[in-house]
Amino acid sequence: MIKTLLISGLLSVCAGTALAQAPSGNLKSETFKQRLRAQYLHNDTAQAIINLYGRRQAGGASWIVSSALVGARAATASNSTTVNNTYVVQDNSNNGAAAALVLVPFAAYGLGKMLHYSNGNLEKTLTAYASGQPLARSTRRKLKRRFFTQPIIQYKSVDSKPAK
Amino acid sequence: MPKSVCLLLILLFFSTALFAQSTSASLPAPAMTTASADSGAVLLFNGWYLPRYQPQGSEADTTGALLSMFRRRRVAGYAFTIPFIVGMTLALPISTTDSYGRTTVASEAISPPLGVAVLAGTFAGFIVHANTYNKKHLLAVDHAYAAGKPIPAKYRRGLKQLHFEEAAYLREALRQQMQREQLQTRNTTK
Repeated sequence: MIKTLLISGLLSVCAGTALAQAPSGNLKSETFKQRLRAQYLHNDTAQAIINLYGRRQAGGASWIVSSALVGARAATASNSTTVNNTYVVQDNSNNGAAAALVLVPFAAYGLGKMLHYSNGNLEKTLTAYASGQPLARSTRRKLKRRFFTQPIIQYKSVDSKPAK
Repeated sequence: MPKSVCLLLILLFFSTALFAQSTSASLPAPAMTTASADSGAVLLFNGWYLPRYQPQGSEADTTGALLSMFRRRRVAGYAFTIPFIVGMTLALPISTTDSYGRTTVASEAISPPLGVAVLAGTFAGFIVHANTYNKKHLLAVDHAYAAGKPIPAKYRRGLKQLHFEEAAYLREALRQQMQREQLQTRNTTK
């Protein structure tokens, strides 16, 4: 239990680092989204949709990575034996392959998410929206305020000393 | 048990501290119009310095590529944990826990001299690495470059195509962000 908590704590550190260090992920995918951003630069809703898709892609990737990590840990775990005061409990039920198999649905959920919120689908959604079709209710429902306020990149101007 | 909980809390604190760092840099200061070396320069991520880039002709975005390289190299410093673990394993006796929960510590380490050498190398390497790729050095190199001095060879050698691609991405992201900010202020003042 404690081990799981510790691992999740470590993972949250990694996630925090990744967020602070944007652009994370691969540059090609980010550049694709950037091209779409430039195309719909004056439309807040289009920007929010791009933010939503980026967020869901990252979510899908994190499902896949974490289930892979937990699966690897479960598959390499050895049988445990607990010694009580009077008797010994041997736990031979630890089947690594089965434990890894349990995590397949979680990885599949992540994969499904990445496929549903892929860059190709993002472009389709945006093209349909730009051509005047209303957004699908499922998409509109997911557009939260934070996706509208999210900056493209965070920056801070340097105070410059006037030239002499 | 309390120790683990403490560790977890510390880890969580660090993760929130990182978030705070990334959000605190979101205040855009008013743009300066004076023509000095720093005009148009911005700080990205956790305060990495990115000078203005106005190409006349086909000059490459060297300063942007430098920022990209420094950040990537700095993050790659996490790889120093691998030789650190190897060195510790060699220098200290290994303890093993069998399936009955009994812990046995090996009577002697695999190779203490080799382990100590690996550890010393790791620490020295890490100090050199962290020193080479830090924000102050990037700032100094950028200022020297703006003053017309060439990039030191040790940095110039490290510049790869990828760094220029990431620099182009960052410049475009900045341009879009600034344009959207102008758009938003125009909409609110109307």
